[in-house]
Formats: sequence, C-alpha cells, structure tokens
Amino acid sequence: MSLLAVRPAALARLARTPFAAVTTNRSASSFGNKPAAGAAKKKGSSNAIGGDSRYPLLKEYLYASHAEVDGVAEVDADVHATIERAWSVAQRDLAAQRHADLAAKYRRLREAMVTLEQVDPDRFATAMDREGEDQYFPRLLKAPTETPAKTGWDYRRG
Amino acid sequence: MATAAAAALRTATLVVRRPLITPTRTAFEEAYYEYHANLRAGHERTVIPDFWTKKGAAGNTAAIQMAVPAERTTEADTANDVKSLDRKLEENLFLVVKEGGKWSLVQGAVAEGEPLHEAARRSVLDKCGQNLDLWMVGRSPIALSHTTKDKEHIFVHKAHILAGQAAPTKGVSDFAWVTKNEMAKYLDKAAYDDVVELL
Repeated sequence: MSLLAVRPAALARLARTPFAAVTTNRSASSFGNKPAAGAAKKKGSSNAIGGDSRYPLLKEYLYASHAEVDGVAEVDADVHATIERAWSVAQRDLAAQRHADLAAKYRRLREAMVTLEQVDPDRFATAMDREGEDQYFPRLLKAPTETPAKTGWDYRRG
Repeated sequence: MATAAAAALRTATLVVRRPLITPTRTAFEEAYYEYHANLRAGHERTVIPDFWTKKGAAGNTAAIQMAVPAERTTEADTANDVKSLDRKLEENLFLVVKEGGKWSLVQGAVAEGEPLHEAARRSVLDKCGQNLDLWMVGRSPIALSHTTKDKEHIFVHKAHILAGQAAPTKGVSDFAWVTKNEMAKYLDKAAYDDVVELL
C-alpha cells in the first residue's frame, strides 16, 4: 500500500504552465461561476476582480485538487519506516557519543574543583564566583558558517 | 593544625580555535535530506511566478551576479601549515608549544595572590606573545593534570583564541595548532592520555 508520493516531474510541468492554459475542466473552476454552456473562460474576463487576470489562477491555486497528477513515483511505507529508523539509530549513536564526551569532561572538572577546594580555599572561592566582567561571551565568538569569511583569520599584526 | 609544605600550583592552558565552518555532511545525511526534500516537493503547491509578479516587474534577473563564496578547504590545508589558523576550518585547533625540547600545552607558574584563571591567561600571553585575543572560559579549571610530580598541582584552564597569532618567546622554541587526531604526534603518551578527553 503506497502512502506517499514523490512527484519531481509534476514540479517542472506546473511551473512552466502559463495561467491561461490552466485547465478549467476541474470541479474547482466551476466554483462560484454561472454555468455558461460551452463557453471557455477568456483571458482577463469580466469575472476577474477589478480586471485582474490572476483571478482564474487564484482559484486554481487555492481550490484545485492535486490528486490527478502525472508521473507520480511512490514510496513504499516499509521503505520509509526503514529509512526513518536508520536515521534514528544514527542520531542515537551520535547523542550517546556526545553524552560520553561530556560526562568525561564533567568528571575531570569536578576532580579539579574538589582538589582546589582542599588545596586552596581562597582560589576555590574565586573560581566559584559567577559574577564579574570576565563572565560574558565575547562578541567575536561566532557560530560557524557554511563557507568561511573571504578575509580569512584575523591575524591582527599579520 | 600542622601545615605541610604547600603544594606548588601551576597552570596549563588549553587554547582552542573553534570551527569556523559547519561540519561536512556524511553520505547518509545527504541522502536523507534529499529524500525528505523530494517528499516535501511531492506535497507542496508549486510556486507559479506569474501569480506573484506582474510582467516586467521583476526586472532583469539574469543580470544579477551572485556572490562567490570562499572555499571550505584553504591554502593552509593543501600546504598542511600547522602554524596557520586557517587550516582545518571545520575542526577544533589546539595550541601546543615546544619548551625544552618537549611538546605540551602552554604551562606557567601561579604568582602569589594571583587567581588561577588570571595566571593561566597571563602565562599564555607571556609565552606566546601579546598578539592574542583570548577568551578564558569562565574562572574554574577544566581538569587537574594527572602527570605531575609530588607536591605539585597543575590546573588546566580552557581558552578560546578569537584573533591574532602565537609568537613564541621566553623559552618556547616552537608552536603548532593541531587537531585532536594530530595531537598524539606531538605530545608523549602520558601527556596525550591526560589531555585527550578534554579535547
């Protein structure tokens, strides 16, 4: 049973279709229209709002069904489930690795602070202090980007 | 209360240049994102440009010149210049210095009454020059070194380099910015095992 549709072909087809060639045979295009026997809709017709020729296009855009489209590729539900499960497994492994790294770092941090408290209570108090001008994130600490800056690293005195 | 000879305090500083670019996607990630892009395309209404723009209103789109971004792999990568901070842009680079013929993190002594984080910062600037824009990550040390002699505590602090470059002075003969995987080539086994889980 196919539950999902991939329609790369439909994309190209619809994008190339000028509005005037949009089919008026679907049920959506008879919405709100008086039945005019055998009369095709004219470009920029009096049905348009304020003479705007995009009115037929608007109706197609809002109300047309996407059910009858050519070239639909179907993805099996089992295939989809397998892909999603593989992704979840990969993400779980990454998360476990991150957690292990952080746990090791925390162990070392705790060991250092416990030792410092025993060895030098004054410096321990300074280290534990959360106030101070030096306790802010610097402006130059930026998030990574997809490509680097064209100027490269700022070596300052070159 | 007996006060034994106070253990000497020393600092070591792990200076890191954080990644400047996003990590490269694996083949699986690329395939997965493409799969989902195709699923979305199958369920979305196509954008019909004529609906949104009157004829001629968009101007000459063919004349627009898109900016050309810089490459993710730099000259420093091809030359494998270990002193360059433009190398390995998607990885962390850590500073190692050569003192007395031995590679290690930047180490230094703690002065009387000087807080640990200030001693760590000062020792990097003293040994690697003033042309370093450093940011100390908080005030607390990140680790206690396991490779110390008796009666000595070496506290490791973490700092980021935001700009500038190391210029060795005062007994430091060489320096390098290396990745986690390259660190083993520089540090001896005991030092590397001590530091690897902090990287």
